[in-house]
Amino acid sequence: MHKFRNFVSLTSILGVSALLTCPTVANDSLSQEELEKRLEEQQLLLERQSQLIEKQQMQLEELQRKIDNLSTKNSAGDTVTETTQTADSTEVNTETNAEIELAETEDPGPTPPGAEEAPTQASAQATGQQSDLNPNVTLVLLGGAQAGGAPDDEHKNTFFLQEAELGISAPVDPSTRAEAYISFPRDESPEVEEAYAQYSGLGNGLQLRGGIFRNEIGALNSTHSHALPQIDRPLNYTMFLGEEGTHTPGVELSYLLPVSWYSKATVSVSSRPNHHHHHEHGEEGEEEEEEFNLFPHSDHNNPLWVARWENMADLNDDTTLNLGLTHATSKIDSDTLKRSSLSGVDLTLKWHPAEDTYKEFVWRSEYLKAHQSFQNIPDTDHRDLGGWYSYISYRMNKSFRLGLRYEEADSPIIQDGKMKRTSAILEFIGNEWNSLRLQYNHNNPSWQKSYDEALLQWNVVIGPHGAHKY
Amino acid sequence: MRKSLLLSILILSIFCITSLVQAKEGLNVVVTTQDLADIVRNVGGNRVQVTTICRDGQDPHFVEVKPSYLRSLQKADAFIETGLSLEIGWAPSLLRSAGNTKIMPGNSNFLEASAGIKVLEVPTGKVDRTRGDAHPDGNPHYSLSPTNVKQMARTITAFLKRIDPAGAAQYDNGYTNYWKAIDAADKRWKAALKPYAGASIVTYHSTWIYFTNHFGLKVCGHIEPKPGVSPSSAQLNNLVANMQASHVKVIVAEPWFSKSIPTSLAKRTGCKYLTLPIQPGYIPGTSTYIQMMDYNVNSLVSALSK
Repeated sequence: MHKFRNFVSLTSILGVSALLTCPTVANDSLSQEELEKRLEEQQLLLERQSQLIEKQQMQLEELQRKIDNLSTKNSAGDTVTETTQTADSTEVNTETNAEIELAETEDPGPTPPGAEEAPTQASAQATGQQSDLNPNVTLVLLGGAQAGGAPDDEHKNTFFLQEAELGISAPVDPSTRAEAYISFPRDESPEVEEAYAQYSGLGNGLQLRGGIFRNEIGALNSTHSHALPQIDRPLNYTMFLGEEGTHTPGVELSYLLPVSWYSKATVSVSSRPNHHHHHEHGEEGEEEEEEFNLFPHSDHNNPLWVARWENMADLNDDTTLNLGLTHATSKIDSDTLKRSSLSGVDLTLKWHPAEDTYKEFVWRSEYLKAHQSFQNIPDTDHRDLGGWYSYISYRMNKSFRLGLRYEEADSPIIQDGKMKRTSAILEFIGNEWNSLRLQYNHNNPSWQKSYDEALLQWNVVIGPHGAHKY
Repeated sequence: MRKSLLLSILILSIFCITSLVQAKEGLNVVVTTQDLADIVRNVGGNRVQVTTICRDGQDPHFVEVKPSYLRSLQKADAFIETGLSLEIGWAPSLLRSAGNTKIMPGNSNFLEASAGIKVLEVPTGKVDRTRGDAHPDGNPHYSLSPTNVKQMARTITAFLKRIDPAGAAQYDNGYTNYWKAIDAADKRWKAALKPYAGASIVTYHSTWIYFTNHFGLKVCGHIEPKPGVSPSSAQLNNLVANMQASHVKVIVAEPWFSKSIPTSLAKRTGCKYLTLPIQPGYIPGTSTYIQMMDYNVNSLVSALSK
């Protein structure tokens, strides 16, 4: 009942104050125009007051209903025990509290604001907690299982943790940002996959990056394992750049060209990958089978240059076409190898209708050509290796994605060897942070009998919303 | 080495040529959603050019970021977002990639439109993913209350006046006119819904709290047990029982949600299932905020009156 009286008095006070704030008599010296303006203002004021009263009346009615409810409950429940009555009244209490919480934004009125009213970042709805200054930490877990595989495959019919990736990122200052990704890969010691600072204060679409980063080679070298379109990297990447791709310490400049379509050029210079594949536990003396890499570590420290030019055009509202060109080159200067380079072209068609949040179709094809020029070898002065893949990926709805991939690549290890592979992928997406992929590969190498394998991957992410790559 | 040198020279020359051709016309404002676009267009009139990132009918939580947006952002004079983590999945990385420092969060020409809004459903306690995809800063769908739209217009007007002082008079004028238009429409909407004060509805996602709060309606429950989480059949049975107890007549869902669950729920309870837009432009004939709200209010009135 208290509240009821409060509302009545509040309403009357507001009414009276509205009357009091009206200037009583207009000055004779005012022009008609000004008078009209004042009249309009007063009318608006009056309207606001009546709105307020209307709203309060509604609240009043609501409260009255509740009181009625309560009294019917109480009178009907003469036989109920004391405890349930208390429970009832607490319920009503929380309800009223909730309503107080649901108070609306105050009507700002028709008078325009001053420029000084614009919120600065400091006054915006920041929580102001010290913990906001902690960097974002994200952990990606890629659990896996494999059935079947190549005759010499050590992962045949096993479970494993394909990779655990720890990502840490935060702004350094208003124009600099730092990110680091520590990878715990299967069978290998942990390594810094990426750790770089990005400076965007140059303006004009220029960005500078320094540190260890995945080189912008082709469409997929910069993509982390968990974000790949299939469980494994395509053959042309794994055969020429190693299982996990290339990441090197250096600097990179990217430039968003001011043309009518999206066009970005990236150039980086870095020190050559210092190979981690000399296994630390190789002390048994046996020579471990070493993975081929086009850009191996060398004593001469010749830099690796990478240039990528990416262009994207909207074919219509739902469809985009992306064309990428890559060239990477480095002097090697080893006993037999003079220079290595890799050139590539990739084409991606993406369809994503606006009215369906989840539906998406992607078709991507990419060709990579590796070129090695030799020295001190009598019969030959160079060799070229080629590899390509083409895949389609179709997300049907919130939960399912289907994919198909076909690829071919020349083997860098087996003379005139060629590997062909066909893959089918089914992905079940629980939500953004939890998905399961099943992939079936049919491998057809020219140098041995064909074999099949089935891969399973459980992709789990904890941490804040990660950056979505387009 | 010769090749890479040549390439660098080529890129450098492209840079020099293209930076000369950059033209400038009006104030380029990039906004994330259509409600913001409606406000900026009305306040700024012909002084501004508005680019909206969220396409018509797109769920603002999930936007497939197209690199072509980076072009608009690169030449933008200002960027306005809804805030309260609505665009968290895509706007930050988009702004980072665009490299236009002045419109990045924390800088002068970036605006979060939620300033001055009384935010509802701010979670208390620890927010982790056991709550589903909960918004840690509170419910971001505040533009469904006309009062909040007036406040947004006010914040945006102040912002535009700060970054473009020469246009102050036009912005002031635009603000007052927009305020009056919204205010008049609001009276109409309130009058139409007044007979149904206290009526309960069920919504798919927790999107409509600002709307129901403003118009004196009640939300009896959501189809999603937690934001972004699909319901189990036991949870649906529970919801049906609640709906029958509270005499719910209407189920409201946004266009992008599964149609099968609300349809079967409507069949089981005899409710009317309404697909209502939460942004202008989601369905034909609702390209302005007022048209969209007209549509929503009329649909609700006709469903509740049965």
